[in-house]
Amino acid sequence: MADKNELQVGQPAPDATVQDADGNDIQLSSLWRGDQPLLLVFIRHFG
Amino acid sequence: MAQLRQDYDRIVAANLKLVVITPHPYAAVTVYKAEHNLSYPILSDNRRKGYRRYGLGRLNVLHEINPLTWLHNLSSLRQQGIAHSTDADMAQLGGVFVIDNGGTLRFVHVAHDAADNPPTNAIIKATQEISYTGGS
Repeated sequence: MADKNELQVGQPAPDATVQDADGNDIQLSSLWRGDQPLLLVFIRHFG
Repeated sequence: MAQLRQDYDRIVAANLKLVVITPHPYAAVTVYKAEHNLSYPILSDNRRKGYRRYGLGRLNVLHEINPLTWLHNLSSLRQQGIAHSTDADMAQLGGVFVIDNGGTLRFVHVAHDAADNPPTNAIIKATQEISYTGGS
């Protein structure tokens, strides 16, 4: 059952700061400003 | 991760830019990328701010005592190795999102259990509906 607070198609994507493999800060919003749709996959863990 | 690796060619053919977010610290990402020769970026959200903003929850007690959850976790531990598991949070749930270049969500899948992954076909179908003349 969908949570009433769950994100929906058509809504703005939330931004957040993450880190690259060198520890540099990256804004998620910088990732979708290209010429391709962004497939953003949050994984549980490696495996 | 296994499904992503398996379907990566299809994702590229669909003109999607794949970025993976992990709750592992960035140092673990460095080691993992070196071991697996991956073509796509993996970014660390060790503080889980992104996970929370995208509404990604954690397994509840009922899920954690479910034998199927434990089987899934054991399988993942076997694949990733104990070295990578020491900083893993096995209760964190994942999610899959397609975002156009206007910053609009075009596909949303919030996992509700450990094995809840969307079919790649559904992701690609959502992508095909995006008119890429500058996003939304």
